[in-house]
Formats: sequence, structure tokens, C-alpha cells
Amino acid sequence: MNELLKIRGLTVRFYTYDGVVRALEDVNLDINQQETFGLVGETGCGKTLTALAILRLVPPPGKIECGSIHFYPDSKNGPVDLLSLSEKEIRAIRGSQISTVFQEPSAALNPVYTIGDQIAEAILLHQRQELNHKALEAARMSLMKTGLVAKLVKPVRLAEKNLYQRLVHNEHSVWSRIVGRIPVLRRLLWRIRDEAGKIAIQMLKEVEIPDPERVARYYPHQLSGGMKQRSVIAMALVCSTRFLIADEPTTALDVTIQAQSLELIRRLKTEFESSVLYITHDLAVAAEICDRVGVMYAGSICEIARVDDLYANPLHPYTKALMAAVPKPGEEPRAIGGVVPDPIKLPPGCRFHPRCDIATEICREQSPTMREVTPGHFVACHICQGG
Amino acid sequence: MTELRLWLHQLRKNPLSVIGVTLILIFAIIAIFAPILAPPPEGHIDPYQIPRDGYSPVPQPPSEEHILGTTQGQYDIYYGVIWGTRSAFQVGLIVMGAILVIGIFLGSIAGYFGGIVDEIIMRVTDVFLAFPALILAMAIVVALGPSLNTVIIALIIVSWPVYARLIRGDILATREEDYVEAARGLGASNFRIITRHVLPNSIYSALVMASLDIGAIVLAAAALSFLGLGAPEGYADWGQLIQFSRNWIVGIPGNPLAYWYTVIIPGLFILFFVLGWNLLGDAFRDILDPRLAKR
Amino acid sequence: MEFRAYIIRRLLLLIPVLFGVSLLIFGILQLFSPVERAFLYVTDPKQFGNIAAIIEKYGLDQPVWVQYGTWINQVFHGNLGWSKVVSQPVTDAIINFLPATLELALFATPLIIFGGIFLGSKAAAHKDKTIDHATRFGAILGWSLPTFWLGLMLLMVFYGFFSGLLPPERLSIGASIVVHSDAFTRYTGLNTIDAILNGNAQVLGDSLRHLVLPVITLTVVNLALIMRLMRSSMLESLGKGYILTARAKGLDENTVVNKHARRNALIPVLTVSGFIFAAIVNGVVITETIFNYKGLGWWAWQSAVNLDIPSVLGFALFNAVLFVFTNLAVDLYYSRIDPRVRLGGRMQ
Repeated sequence: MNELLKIRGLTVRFYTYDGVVRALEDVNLDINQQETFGLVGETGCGKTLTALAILRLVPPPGKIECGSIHFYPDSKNGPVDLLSLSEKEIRAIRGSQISTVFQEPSAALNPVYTIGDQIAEAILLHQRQELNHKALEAARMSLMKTGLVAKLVKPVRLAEKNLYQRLVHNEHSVWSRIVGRIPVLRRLLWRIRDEAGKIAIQMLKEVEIPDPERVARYYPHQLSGGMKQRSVIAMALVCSTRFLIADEPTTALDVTIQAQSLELIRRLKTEFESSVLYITHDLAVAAEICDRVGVMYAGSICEIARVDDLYANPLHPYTKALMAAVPKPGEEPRAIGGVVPDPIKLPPGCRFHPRCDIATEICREQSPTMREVTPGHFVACHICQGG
Repeated sequence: MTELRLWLHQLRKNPLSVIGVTLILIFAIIAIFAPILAPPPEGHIDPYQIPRDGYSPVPQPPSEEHILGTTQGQYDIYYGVIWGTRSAFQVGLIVMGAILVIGIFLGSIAGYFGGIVDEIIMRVTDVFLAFPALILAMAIVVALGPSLNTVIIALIIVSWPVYARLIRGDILATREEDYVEAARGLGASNFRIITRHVLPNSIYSALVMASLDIGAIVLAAAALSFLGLGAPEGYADWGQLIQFSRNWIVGIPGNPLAYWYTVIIPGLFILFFVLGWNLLGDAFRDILDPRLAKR
Repeated sequence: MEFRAYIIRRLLLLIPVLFGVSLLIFGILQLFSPVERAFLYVTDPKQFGNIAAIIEKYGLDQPVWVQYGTWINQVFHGNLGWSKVVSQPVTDAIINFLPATLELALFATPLIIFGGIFLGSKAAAHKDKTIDHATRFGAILGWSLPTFWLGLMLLMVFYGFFSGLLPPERLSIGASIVVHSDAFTRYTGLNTIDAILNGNAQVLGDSLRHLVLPVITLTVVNLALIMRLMRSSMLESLGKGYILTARAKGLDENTVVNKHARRNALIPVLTVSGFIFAAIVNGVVITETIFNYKGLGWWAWQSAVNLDIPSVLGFALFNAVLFVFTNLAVDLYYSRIDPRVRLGGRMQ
């Protein structure tokens, strides 16, 4: 059982004043365990929207019309259709099983809270039980201290320990809820935040941020772009996520930082045994870091293949044109003629046919379906499929 | 010019702004046609003095002769609110015009040249802004002697700092834009840069505020008149009319709303006038917002 | 370290502003004749008999800068002149009328600020739904209403129909007698608080009844302003990237809105709250006038209409100084909330 994510027939439409935007049309995609899947395409082709659809965060006036997204949370249980889950269930998955790193790290961080706080927030949300256990341990340890001061605060520490014990026993115990509401008593639960903070610092160390204890107390505006990016990555991975969605994470950074970030993602992915959906418009980056790549155009997938296969032997006309458009030393870059279609008035048949050199009659009439041409290499094109 | 066209188109699509524009147009028509709608009687020297029909202090309800009734001292309410529309427009447009001119001038200088000029102008605005507007206006009106003209002067003095600051802020933002650098690189003089390049782009938010503020200005003038510090007795001014009604809001024993017309009619005129400008200004802001956000 | 420097800088900036304020008042003062100006130096009604002596004593026919010196000197000694309208020194009048206005402001301000923030957030969170349209409509209406008209209408309705329920002025005669009697200790001058401290329910109920209408009049217009500001601020905040990140983390909508969006949205609202203070002062003059509520605003109006120059100018000066310090307080609080202001600089 190697699969992690199976997207079938995903269709997303936006209902705007100017008309219906067919943003995603019948998207089919498989991602396997521990693989890095690259989703490549021009800006506006629907890559980010696919990620949002997985998370069920499609903004209004968008609607997921139909389709299924099957997610395999672990090797034991069967798949869950993310599109059929309740709000509460999908929230439990967001941030813990499926995490996201978005494009601009400065925008992703809330300017009025510290880095440590924002990372700890994810932990507090998804890993309560671990925190309760840890807090209980810490409380027990503090009870064993001797000395005058220890004797004085003993009753407080005892109260803490009992509280944590109840929490470990029953995560949603009535006691904790009552105590949580009363301002002064709420401080008894401080160890939980404390432990979350420690984990956050640990995570900052993982992403190779120097002096993590100090950085955790910093606000976003006090960090450089690269550090902010690392923090965002830390925030995403802190709950040992199985699936990381990285939406153009390095686009906003300098080239050198870019390289570092890629290296970091690669390392962490191996360490946490996660899979990555890497969204980018940069073919070079995709070639660098991905195992398999999918090419998207105007809301549909054109081609999916293993990375070396794709770059050595691109089949779809669009993929070929993309690769030709990349400037190489000594050669003239060749732009793709025509413009990206208006998402409201899409061309009939294959969406790419107005710009395609080899389009024929059937391309104008019928939308091609994805077919496996060589093992592991899928194309949606009438010409390339051989019928 | 297509930008202007786009603007007007969006304005038309927003129902609230349509209401706002309609209201303002109605008032404008009233103001322009005041001499026809409420002709001053024979031998009347100053059309802004409301004609009196007798000297009784008790207001009379609406009748054949006085369509909207009379207020204290037998001043015809209909005449008062019609010509009051004119004075409202006068006050609003004069004050707003003056404020924009002063504010744009000083704000541009402060924003564009920066340095010590900026500091000085900013401190001056600080001083003016340290006073709650009405209080300072009151002090100025008292010093110069209460009349509608002093109210206009006082409101101008009190309100220009806000606009100077606004324009300055906008200019500070646009000053660093590339096209300004380009113009400078081509050798354009400072004056040319300010008028041709910087101002046209900064002026939008000032216009939004201006359209919202005309309502506030008219409200402030009405408030000053109401307090007895503005238009003199018998002058066609909405605030003045309401001041007249103050003694009559208690009505007669057994009929508390007996003199409703003295207070409600002028009040409604003010309300709808200000509402019209507020709706318009609101619509402006909604339209401009995406553009401002893009900056 | 940064913060301390910031505070010092702000405090230093106060000086030129206060100086400018005094100059402005003084400038307005110069518009009057020496005789009229002499009123500012009177401390005792008996002195009115001998204005010439005052002109002589304070050098009111001397060059301008000398006069400024004498005047500022007087101001620092607490002498702002004599208010003929209430037959007291201006400084005394300010102190005596302050509690009444303070009481009004005390009830109105939290209503305006918290009510505005609450309604604005709700409207933004449920954008384009009924509650949003309702609050927006209410806001535009409230902002277009002439305060004095609203006050008059309220007075008309409540005086006419519910006579006695919510009467004008501060206290009815019965309660007034109690308050001025020996049995009642006036700790603060604010009737409601004093009533609580004295354990007197009658006075408490009475003063509250008198406060309802003026507070409503004062609140409506300003509430509209805060509400609209909060709404647009929230909408802007909700459109930011960190909101998407917060949702992607799995946070529930309530937390996203209340914890993440709101704190950022409050920042511009806070800047405005300093101006709310000014708006309240403006509104207080009108409100107190209409309801015959004898506070600072009422006194200011009486002075203005009667051309009592020392009072008007003294009031203006008092307000300006108060406003400057309030703004400083707001700025300092603002820098506490927004860490970007407090801590500059980056780390590599």
C-alpha cells in the first residue's frame, strides 16, 4: 500500500458576477508515500487551487463541484475522502496530517505574535495528549524538589499534578474546562504552554535556526526572509506531518536562500518520512527536488511522469513548449505563442489547442483524457496517445 | 480618461451610491431653483432673510399659506428650508474648496520637500489638531463675532490640517515610485513633477475624504448655528431653524408633538443632505479601495 | 532600550506642540481689545471696577511678546481669568464642572469603543449577510445624524410621552437636595459613583435615569464611526496571508477571527480612539446644551453665547492640553500592542 493521496475528478468552479470560472476541471492525481510530487505550470493555472481544495480551504465564491480526494492517513487504516469529512474532522487533519507552507513567508506569519507562539499554537492544537503527559512528568519532577521554597509552593504543585493527571486520563475532563475559564486558576495549566514552547524551540533547531531560544521570542518583522521561511517550515512540520504541501515556498527568496530552503525540505522530508506536494512554476527547481512531476495547464493536468522520464522525453505539446521556453546559454528562448485562455470562456475540446502546433480536428472538439502511454508516464493528448 | 469612465461605471453599479447621487442632485436642484421655488416677497432686500408673517412667537402648523408651517416668530419654514439648501451648499463647497486648496498646497510642499519644511508644517498641524474641532471653532467665532461668514472662516481654519496631513502622506508614498525618479532623471522641474506626476495619483484618497467630509462640515455649521454662534436670527439656515424649535419641542399639554414640524422638517433636510454625501463618499471609497490596496 | 528612546522622543515632541497651542490661544486673544483682554486677569469681581489698573498692571498695552510672557506666567499660576457667566474664576469653573462631564464620558466611552469593536467585528465576520447590511446601514445613518437633532428628538419623545422617566439635567430636585446635604459625602463629584460609595440607591437610580438620554445622544454618532472603521479594518485583516495559514493549521473559525484577525484589526482603531476623545468633547457641548446638563460643555456654550472670553479661551486651552496628553497615552499603548513600533531592527 504505497498510496498517500488519490485525487479523482476534482472540479472547482467560481461563481462570479462576470460569469462562471471553470478553475479546475476533472483533475486526477496520485501521490505516493514518501515521494516528492511536483506540480508545475504557469501562474494562474490552478496549482494553488488544487492545494486549497485538498485542504478544503477554497475561498468563496468558489465551490468544489465534484470529485473525490482519498487520503491514506496511515498504513493500517483505509482511505478517507477528504471532501466528505465534517468541518471538525478536516480541521483535525489540517496542520497535523497535512501541513502547508505558502508562498510568502512574511505574509504567512502574524505580525503581532512571536515566532515561538505561532509554532506552539499548532502543537497546542494537535498534540494535547503528549503535552499533558509531559506536563504531568514535569509536575511530578517539581514535587520531588526539596528546600524551603519547594515546601511553600507544594500545595500549588500538588494541585497542578492532580489537574494534569485528570487531563491525561480524560482529555476533555470537566475540571480542566472549568479551570481553563477562570483567569487566575488558568495559570495552573501553564506547564502545558511551557512544554509546547520547548517543542517549538526544538523544531527551530531542526530547521537550523541559530540561537532558537532567543529567536522564539522574536516577532516576525525582526527576522530576515530566510529565517522567516524556516520558521514557517518549522510551523508546518512540527506535528510530524505525513504530507507537506509546499506552494512556491522559495519564489519570494534570493537564490542562495532558495538553495538552502530546498536542502532543508529535502532533509526534513527524509527525516520525518513525509510526502511532499511541491508546487512551482520553476522547471529547474522541480527537476532538482521532485520524484514525479505533473504539468498543469488552465485547470487541467496535461502530463504526469517520473522526473527523469519527463525531462528526457516530454510528450505533451505544452510540456515540450515549456521546456523549450527555458533560456539556455547560446540559444534563443522560444516563447509559447498565444495567451493563456480566459477561464470563463475556455476553448472547446483540448484547452491547449489554440496554441498547439500539432492540433487537429479532434483536438478542437473533444477534451482528451489521461492515458498511460509508457509505464508511469501519463498524457492527456489525442495526438500523443496514439489514438 | 478610461479610468474615469471605469469609475463612473462602478459608481452606477453600486445602489447606495446611486441613492446618494440622487439625493445630492435633488438638493442641488432645490438650491439652484430656490428663487423660483420660494420667491422672496416684494421689496425683500436680502433673500436669505426668511419673510415673517406677523410677530407671534407661537409656531403655526402647515396650512394653505405656509406649506410647512411657521416657526417661532412666524418665519415661514418652507422658505427657510429651501433657501437653507443654498446656504448649506455655500458653506459646504466654500469650506471644502478652501480646505482642499490649502491642504493640497501645504501638504504637497511638506511631503515633497521633506526635511525641515516638513517638520515645521507638521508641528503646525499638530497644534491645530490638538484642539477638538468644535471648541476651536467656537473660540474663533466668538473672537470674530458670530455670523455665517465667521463660521465659514472658523471651519476652514479648523479643518485644513487633516487634509494637509493626508496629502502629505500620499505624496510620501508616491514620491518614491519609479516614475517620479524617471521624470526627475529626464530633467523635469520640481513643480512639474508635483503637478503632473505626483498629485494626480495622490489626490484620490483626498477626494474620498472630501466627499465624506462635506456632510460633516454642514453638520458642524448647523451645530454652530444651533448653538447660536452662526447664522443670525431669521437667516435661512437649517441649524438656525432648529434653534428656533428648541423651545417648542415640549408641545402643548396633552399633545407633546404639536409643533413637530418646527424640529422635524429642518432636521430631515439636514439628515438627507448629509446622508447623500456620506453615501457618495462611501461608494467612492469602496471603488478606490482595490486600487489603494494595489499600491 | 528602543522603547525608552521612543517614550523620551514622544515626550520631547510635546513641548513644541504645547508651545504652539499656547501661541494659538494667545493669537486668538489678541483679536480682542485691551479692555476685553483685561478680563483674563481678573480674579475677583470687585476688580471690574478698575479695568485701567489691570491694563496697567499686566502691561496690556505693551508689545506682544511681553504680553505673552505675562499671560503664560498667569496661566502657570493657575489664573485663567474670571468667568462672568458662572461668577467664578475660570479655573474653579473647570474643576467644578468637570465631574459632570466626566460622568457622561465615563458611560459613553466604553459603549462607543467596545460596542463599535464588537459590532464591527461581527459585521466583518459575516460580510454581506443581513447583520452586515444592518450594521452598515445603521452606521451610515448614525454618522449622518446631526447630534443635536437626535438629542432634541429624544427629548421631545421622552419629555412628551414618558414624562418623568428620562428627564433632562443631572438630578431631579429631590435627589439634588440629598446630594447637597450633609448626610451625603461627595467623594468624586460623579453622582453615580458617589451614590454607590454612599450606599444610596435613590440617588443612584435618579442620576442614572438622567444620564440615559445624554449618553445615547453622545454615543450614536461616534459608535457609527468606530463600527465602520473596525469593519473595514477587520476585512483587511481577514484578507491577509496569516489568516490562510491559521486556517491551514487547523484552527477553528472563531479562533482565527478573534485571536488572529482581531488583534491586527484593532491597531488602526486604536489610533482613532484618541480622536474619539475629541469627538466626545465636541459632542458634549451640544449634548449638555440640549439636555441642560450642567457640565463643562454647558458652561462652554453659555460662555460662547455670552461672549465670555476668558471662559471660552480657558476651556479651549484646557481641552487642547488634555488632548495632547491623551494622544500620548494612546500612542504609548499602541506601541505596546504593535511590536513593530516597539522593537525596530532585524536580526540576521
